[in-house]
Amino acid sequence: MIRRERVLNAIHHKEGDRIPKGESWIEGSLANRLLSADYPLDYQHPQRDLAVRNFLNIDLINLGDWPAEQIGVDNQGKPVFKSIYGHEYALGKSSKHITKPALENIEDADKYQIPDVKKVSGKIITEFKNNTDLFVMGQIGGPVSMLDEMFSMEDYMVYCLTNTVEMRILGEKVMEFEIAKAKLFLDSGADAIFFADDIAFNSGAFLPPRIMDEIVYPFYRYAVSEIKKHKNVPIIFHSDGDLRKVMDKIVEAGFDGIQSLQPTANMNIAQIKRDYGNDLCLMGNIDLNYVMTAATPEEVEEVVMRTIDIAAPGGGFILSTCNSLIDAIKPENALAMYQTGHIYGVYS
Amino acid sequence: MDLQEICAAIEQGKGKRVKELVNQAIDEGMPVKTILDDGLIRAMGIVGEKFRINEIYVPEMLVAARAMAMGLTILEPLLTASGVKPVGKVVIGTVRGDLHDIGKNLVAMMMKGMGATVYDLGVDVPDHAYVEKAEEVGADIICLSALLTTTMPAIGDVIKEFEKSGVRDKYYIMIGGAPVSQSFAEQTGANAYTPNASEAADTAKAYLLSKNKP
Repeated sequence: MIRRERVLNAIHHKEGDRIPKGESWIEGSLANRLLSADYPLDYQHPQRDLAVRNFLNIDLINLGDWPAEQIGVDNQGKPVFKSIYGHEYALGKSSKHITKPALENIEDADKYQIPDVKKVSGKIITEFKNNTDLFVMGQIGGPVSMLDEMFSMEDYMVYCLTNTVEMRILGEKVMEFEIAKAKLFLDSGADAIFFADDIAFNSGAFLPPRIMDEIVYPFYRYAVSEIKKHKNVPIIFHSDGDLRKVMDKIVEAGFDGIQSLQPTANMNIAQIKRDYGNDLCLMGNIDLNYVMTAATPEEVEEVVMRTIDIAAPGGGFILSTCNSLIDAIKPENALAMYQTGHIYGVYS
Repeated sequence: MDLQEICAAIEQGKGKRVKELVNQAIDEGMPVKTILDDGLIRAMGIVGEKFRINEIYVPEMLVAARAMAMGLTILEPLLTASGVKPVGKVVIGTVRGDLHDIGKNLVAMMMKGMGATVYDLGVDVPDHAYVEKAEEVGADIICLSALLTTTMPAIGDVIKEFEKSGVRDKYYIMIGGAPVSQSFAEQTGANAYTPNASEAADTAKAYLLSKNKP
C-alpha cells in the first residue's frame, strides 16, 4: 500500500495495512541530528524534509507558503520581516515577535487590503506530489491564528471584545485569502488541507463562547464548505490546548480530522476516541512536555503502544506528536516513537 | 462617590470611565490609598476570582486590567507623593529565547492589580538581567515565564544565576507558562508554580503578607 493511500484510509476510518504516521512539521535541526546530516535550516527544505520522512517511515507531509520580505534587523540583530498580511515581525530562533501590527487603527478594518494570492506559490506541493508517494497537505490559517499574528495576541484578544465588528470584517477578508490559498494548494496537487488555528490555552478556549459564535465558527463552516466545493478533500483542523468544550463545533463545521490532542491540556485520547472517533480522524496525542523531550525511549515506546491500542482500532488514527517534531525532542525518542509505530502499528 | 462604580467600570473594561471616576473621587477629597484599595485593587480581586472560577475568559480579564491601568496612571504619582508604599516589588520577564508575552503581561497586570509595583523586563530576557534589576530595585518577587518547551530550561538557568550571585535566598521566585508544571518548579528550585495569572497574584499576595507580618 502506498503512503498516500494509507493516510486516506485512516481519514476514511478504514484500517488499511498499518497505522499511518506523520507530523505537521519537523524542525530542521532535529532532522539533521536524526540523519547525521547538515542540511540548511530553512523552515521547509525539500531534500531534508523528504530524507527525514523516509528515515522515520513517515507517510505524510504538510507544506505551505507564507510570503514575507525582510525589511531590516531589530536592535538585537534579529531579522525583521513584513508579512503578506501587512504586519511586521522580528524572527527569533523559536518564535516571532510582532513589531508593527497589520493595521495601526483597528477602526480602519474596512480599508484593509486582502493579501494577494498571486504572491503565494504551490510549487513545493507539486514537487512532493509528483515525486513522492507521500500524502501531501497544504496548510492554511484560521481566523484566530491569522488575526492573532497580525496584531499580537494581547491586542487581538482585546479587539475581539472591544471591536468585534471590525474583527469580523478583517476575519472575512483574511479568510477570503486563506480559502484562495487552499484552492491554489489543491490545484497544485495537495491531497488535503491542514487548517491551523490555535484557539485554546491548556485551560480552555481563548475567547468567550459568544465571541467564538460571532467571529470564529461561522468562518470555519464557510471555509470548509468553500474548499470542499472546489475539491472534495479532507480538511484537518489543528489547535493545541484544551478543546473539550469546542469539539462539537469542530465536528459541526465539517472538518474531517483533528491534529494535536494535547494530553497535558486534558485531551484524553480514550475519551475523544469514544466521543468523536466516528466523526473525526484523530492525529496526535503523543506528549511533548515530558514524553518526547525528557522520558526514556522505553517510556516513549510504552506511550506509543498504549495510544495505538486506544485510538487505532477501526482506523481514524494517525500517529503523531501533539504538535510537531521540534528541536527539543531527543533524537532517540523520535526514533523510538516512529520505530514503535512502524513495528507495533500493523493492522492484522 | 461610591467606589463600587469604579469597580463596575473596571470589570466592564471601560477605561475612560475609570479615569473620570478616579478623578472625581480625588476631587471629592477621597484618600488616594482608599481609591486604590477599595476601587482598583478590589475590582481586580473580583475579576481574578471570576477568572479563577471560569466565569470570564482571558480577553475579559485583559480589558479589565487595561481599564484598571488607566486609573492607576492617575493615582501613581499621588501615591508616591503621599509616601504610600506598594505591597511589594515584582520583577517579571519572559525568559531568554522566548518572545511570547501574553502570559507574562497578564501576570504583570494582575500583580499591579493587587497593589504591587511591577518592573517588566519584557521578552527574551538575558538570565543576568533579572538579578541586576532585582538587586537594583530591592524586589521581593521574581516572576519567570516560558511558553515553549524549548525555552523552559532557561527558567532553571535564571534561578542558577541568582544562586551564583549569592542572592537566591533574598527572593521569592515564581514560575509559569504553558509547558511549566509543579514538578518542574520543584526540579528547578523555584518557590512557586501557578497555572494562571489570577493564582499568581493570589500566591504573591499571600507571600507578601507573610513576609511583611510584624
